[in-house]
Amino acid sequence: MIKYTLNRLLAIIPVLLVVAIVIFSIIHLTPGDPATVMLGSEASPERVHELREELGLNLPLPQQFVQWLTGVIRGDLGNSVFLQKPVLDVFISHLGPTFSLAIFAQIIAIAIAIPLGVLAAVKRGTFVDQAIMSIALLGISVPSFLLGLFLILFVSVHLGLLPVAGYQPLSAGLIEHLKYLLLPAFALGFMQSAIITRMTRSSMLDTLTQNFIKTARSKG
Amino acid sequence: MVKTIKTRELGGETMVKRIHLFLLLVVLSIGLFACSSGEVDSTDDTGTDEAESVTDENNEEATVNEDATLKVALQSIPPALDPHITGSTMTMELARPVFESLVAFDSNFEPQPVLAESWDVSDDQKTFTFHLREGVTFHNGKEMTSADVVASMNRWKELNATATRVLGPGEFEAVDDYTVVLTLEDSNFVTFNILALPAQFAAIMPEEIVGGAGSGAVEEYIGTGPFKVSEYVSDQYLHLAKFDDYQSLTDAADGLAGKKEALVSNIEIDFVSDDSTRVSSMVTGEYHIGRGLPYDNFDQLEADANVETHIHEGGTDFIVFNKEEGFFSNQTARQAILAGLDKVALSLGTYSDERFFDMNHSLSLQEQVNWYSDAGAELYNQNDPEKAAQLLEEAGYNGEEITIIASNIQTHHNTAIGLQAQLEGLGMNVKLETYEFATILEYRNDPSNWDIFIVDLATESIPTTYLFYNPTWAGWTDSEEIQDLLDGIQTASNQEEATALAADLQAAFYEYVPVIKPSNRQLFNATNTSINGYDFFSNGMILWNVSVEE
Repeated sequence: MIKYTLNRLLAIIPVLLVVAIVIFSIIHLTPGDPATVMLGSEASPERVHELREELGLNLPLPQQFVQWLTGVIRGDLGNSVFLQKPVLDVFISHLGPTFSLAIFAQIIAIAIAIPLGVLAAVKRGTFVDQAIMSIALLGISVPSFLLGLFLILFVSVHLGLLPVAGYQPLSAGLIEHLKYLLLPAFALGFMQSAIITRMTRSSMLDTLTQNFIKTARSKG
Repeated sequence: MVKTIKTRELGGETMVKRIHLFLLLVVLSIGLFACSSGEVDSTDDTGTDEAESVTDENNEEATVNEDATLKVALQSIPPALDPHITGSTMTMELARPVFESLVAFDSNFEPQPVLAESWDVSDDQKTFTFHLREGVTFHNGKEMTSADVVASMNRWKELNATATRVLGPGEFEAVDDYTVVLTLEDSNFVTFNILALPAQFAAIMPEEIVGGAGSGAVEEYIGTGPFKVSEYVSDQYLHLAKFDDYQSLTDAADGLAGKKEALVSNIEIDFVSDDSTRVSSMVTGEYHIGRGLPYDNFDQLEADANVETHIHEGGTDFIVFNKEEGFFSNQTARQAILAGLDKVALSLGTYSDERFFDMNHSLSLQEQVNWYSDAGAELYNQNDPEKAAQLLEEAGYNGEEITIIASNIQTHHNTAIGLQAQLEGLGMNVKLETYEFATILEYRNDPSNWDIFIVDLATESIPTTYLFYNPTWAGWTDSEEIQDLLDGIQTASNQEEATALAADLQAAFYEYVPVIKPSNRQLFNATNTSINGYDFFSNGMILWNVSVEE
């Protein structure tokens, strides 16, 4: 098992390398570079040249790539030109909200899906079952960005219950934190819940028709 | 068991009908929701008068909440907060309440003293002596002296391309703690206009902060303005707090000059790039000011009793000719296009509604009393296809392909499409190439790539600094007459002379046609009715003297 895991992990390395090379080349295939964009329409060619030198964009491409790669291996992802901060810091500072949102969306998905899935299986073939399956179909078909817009319109603009946008960290209080997360988490979780509902229903149905259940039933 | 199966079967028979009923209900409820939103709007409409009269009655009682937080939704992320390093209007807007300069424009675009108390100008207009205000403190408590001014001004002069070009060689030097001198090699009438440039402005920061920064952004944001930076997360928000030791001028507030008061204790500016989110947030009242809103939502916000809409002048989407090579290196060819265009139709295509553009022939705004001119007005919107055809023939047009390059920025792209259609209407063979903005910035530097490109430029505070007059900028203007007039304005001995030369420059602009100006684009912002004192000047909002009612 350990050998297998190690093998798989080692196999990732060449894949990552190829992906890195492809992305790096694509960025440099299009004309225009960060220096021109950063300085905008009004910049003099001298300033652009200066900035290009500062950012190391005047070096040959392979050298730029090797420089970046050796940095990455040492855990240095470089500096974000736009944000003027180390990429790693930016990455870490965005992890918290991402985790919060992902976990909350999963909780919502499961909280909706398991009871509905069970209910649909138990009431198989009835109106309840069909209604739940219709909602699940809707959940799978409606993309989350569209659902998000509808939710903003209805819950925030129309009812004025939750904020339209923004984020408050957990340190601002759990309620405050959840207030901002509820709508996006629901928009993401609803689609997930649709899939989980269908899975729950079918596995429930499988189980319900198994012999031990029948035996238990017949025993009263 | 049998019974159960039966029920299920029965259920199955009626199920289709029930499902249909259910789906119908879903559709109906969505429909009802949509209608009810409409109804709310219409009740808002009819309720407006009532609401207004209530507000009128309450106006005297309405008290300003000094502890309030002013909340602003900005449409994009500024590239930096250091106003020395970038010409971005977002940066300018955010830096305005934090930093101040020696001089700044009033609402007529005339330079007024801010951190300088007064100045002397030598007769040859080469030496400028600034007497600084005493007792002005930075946000870190340190008093501002000439050392800070010299360090800041010399860094700014080097980093601002317009300042470098127009002022030429010359440096700021300290005479004593409260006097600095700028000595230029050539006499310069427009020095104060350059020192007061609203974008990429000459902010005064402490010497030790600018000293270590070089051409990169400063690491600490310390200015002398009415608000200080309390928190800045470069891709999310900027929080400002009232600066209690702010030394305000006492003259009435006027443009960027005069009295500045922090009437709220905090300002929170969030970078909200999604258009519909900014619109929704204005409807719910989450933000007091919404910047750069989509034109499509104008009517919706106009109908909302809690929201006030504002339209502001916001620069021009210019049509730039390649004068270095190709068909448009011929002046008559450029004049032909100027003669043939229907600029109202072109602008309607770009901005969708006549409320969002202003037909202005001048390269300056009417408020720019020193520079506004009627010269060339008769050539502005000729819409004369016959004259165009005649001029095209004179220029020797024989069906060669004309290449327009434009970025995918919406107004650029719209202008390019309208232009292509109109040129084809004039019998020309036109190819439109759309690229991403970064590509355009590079492509346009090679004259063999294009004949026409579209660029948006802010209205310049003095008409001489438009980039398209610069012989080295894409388009490569090469006119002795224009160059002489630019030099003339720079060395004018008084404003009357400069104003007259600016009118001649505009006449030469319509003769030489380096670019075509379709119209002035209008920006759409909105404010909540609970705020007072909102103002907008030269592409950016003014956040001092704004109060929030309780």
